[in-house]
Amino acid sequence: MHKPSKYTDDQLIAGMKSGGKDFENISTYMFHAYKGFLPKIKNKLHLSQQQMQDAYADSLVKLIRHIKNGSFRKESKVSSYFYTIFYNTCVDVSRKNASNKNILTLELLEYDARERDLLKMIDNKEEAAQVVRLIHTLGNTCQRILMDWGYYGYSMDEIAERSNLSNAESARSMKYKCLKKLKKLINTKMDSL
Amino acid sequence: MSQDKMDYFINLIDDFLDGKLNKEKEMEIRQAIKEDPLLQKVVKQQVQARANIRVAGEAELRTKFANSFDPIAVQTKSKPRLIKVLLPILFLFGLAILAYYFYTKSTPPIKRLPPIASVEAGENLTILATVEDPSYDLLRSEKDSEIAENWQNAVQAFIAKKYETSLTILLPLSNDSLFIADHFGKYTLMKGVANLKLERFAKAKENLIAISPENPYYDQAIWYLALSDYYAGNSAEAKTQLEAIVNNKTHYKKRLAQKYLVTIKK
Repeated sequence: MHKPSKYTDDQLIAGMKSGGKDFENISTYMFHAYKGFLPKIKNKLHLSQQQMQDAYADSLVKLIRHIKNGSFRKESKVSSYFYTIFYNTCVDVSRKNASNKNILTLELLEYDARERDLLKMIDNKEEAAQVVRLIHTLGNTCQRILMDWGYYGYSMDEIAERSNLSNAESARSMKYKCLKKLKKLINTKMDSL
Repeated sequence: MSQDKMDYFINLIDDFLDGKLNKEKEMEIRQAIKEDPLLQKVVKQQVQARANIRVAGEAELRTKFANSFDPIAVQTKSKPRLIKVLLPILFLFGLAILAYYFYTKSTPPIKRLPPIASVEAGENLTILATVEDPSYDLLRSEKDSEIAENWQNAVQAFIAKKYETSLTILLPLSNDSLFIADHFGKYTLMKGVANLKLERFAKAKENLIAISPENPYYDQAIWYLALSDYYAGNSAEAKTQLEAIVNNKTHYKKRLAQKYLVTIKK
């Protein structure tokens, strides 16, 4: 993973929200920028190196989520905010004495704050439920296109290039079809519950 | 609700999920959801689909991060401890060798002359030359640096059995009252033995008799005094001296004195 130059907090936040190549560069930057916290927290909590690395990866994903959906409100530095997330994640691991490696923490499988807000507007039944994961039942191309659009924030031109599609319009069409397919799968699943 | 209106709200929902929606638009969604059950269903589908996409994206990114760490090194247990113990020991050992090297280099060992060969075994007592000289250890001093260079040279000549040279070198030392006061015993003993070896027996006796019983070199002086009489042919005086030595239980030449007495009696 290439180590890029330094970013300010505002650049980090703007890049994360804009998505695409900026998102990729900044996520790589953050991976390297906060590694110094690893030995600091390891010494405090006495977790194994593997547990620390897993917690670090989880924490970075959580930080990115909070920046993307606006939960991070710039009330502290991004690094301080990350330290808090990382420390709390490590405390959770320490309490559970988690032995499973490379398994996402439960929080990473739950609805995030924004999603819960919308679900609350409809009813409260889904509030605490985990996300019913169905995207993996789609083909690889559909998964790639939907993640590039809905998570990484690539433009349609970039998605077309990344998925070897002829142009942005083809990418947009594919994305529409894949999303429709996913929603259909979800409907079928939800109806069967 | 028309499809266009539905698409409009779906875009608003996406913006809301991405944290890009302002308060005014958010209120618009809330109001529309309350009023339209179909929109509620569409919103639910959209949220669940987007949650699926997000969870899949987060899982992928998380795996990428986890795989970006360097492999965790496997630690061995015993070797580092052994090295931890051995290294300081080797270091101290090296220091000790260095210290010894520099110490011996800066302070060369005191040069000791070879011991004078003993002539006691199979000796011919009638030959003066076979008489053992006083040990160099008796003549040298631990305070070599304080002793006149002449004394060192005299000892060297004496050990080499160059008795005349030795006496010549000792001559100026007789004027050094301080040296004589400190080293009278060994100085006089060397002169006496040198004269004995040069068969100047009277001179030898004169030197040796001057060493008093309180002097540490007295036992040596008595021995060589007896030999001076012995080789001078003064049998009676020699016998008296030798018997005194034989009767002295602690005298270092007691056994050899007995042998000389036997030759006198013959």
